[in-house]
Amino acid sequence: MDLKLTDSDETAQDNVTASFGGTNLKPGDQLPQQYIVVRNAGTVNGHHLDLTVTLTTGNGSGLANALVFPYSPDSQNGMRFGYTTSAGDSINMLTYLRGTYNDGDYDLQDGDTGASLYGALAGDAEITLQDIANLGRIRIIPDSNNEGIVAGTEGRLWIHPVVDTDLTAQGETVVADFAWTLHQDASQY
Amino acid sequence: MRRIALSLLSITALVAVVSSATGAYFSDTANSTGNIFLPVPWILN
Repeated sequence: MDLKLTDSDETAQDNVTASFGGTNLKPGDQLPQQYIVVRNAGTVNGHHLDLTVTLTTGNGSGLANALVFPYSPDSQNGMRFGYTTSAGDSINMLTYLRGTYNDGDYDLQDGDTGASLYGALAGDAEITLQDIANLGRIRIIPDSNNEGIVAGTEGRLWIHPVVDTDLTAQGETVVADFAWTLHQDASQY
Repeated sequence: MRRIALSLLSITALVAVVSSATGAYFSDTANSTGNIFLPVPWILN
């Protein structure tokens, strides 16, 4: 297995930079939809992917809690993983985490315990970048889709956050790392 | 007799190596770093 990443301005490699983010952000802004391509460039199939989001700067800050991944009928790409943004090709991570809808493309588990994350953020009115970081290691397992995990395929993580209008904290910056690990076997935690 | 014993020892060692190899699975890691979210300057004071 050989895991490679690509984003909108970099070619496939082990480490890409500045895939997500924005400057001059203010309350109410919607960032452009952005993505990371995750490719199993090897010849051996993986079993699952682990995604860990770490806020290396601004963990627990007002800004991290104000970067909201919205879910509404006209903005369903707040946070998706899969082959295309079509509902049939990718998992809506927000509805899965809220426990309101599982479209059957991939499953998400706690990367440490294997517990399902379906409904893990039930009752959370706004899922934020801080919420995703707080989940720790997120295991992505194929269901009806397997792109990014099976050899020679690629999946994408899309995010499309907005800055909450309730943001009042000033002087903050958030820097996030997205670490991906492709594992060959279900026994690997 | 000694040769047979050595052969058995070799086979046992080979089985041990193969057994341990089948329990060792592959992983590979890649990272996206430096994803910066920066407010407008007036928010920065």
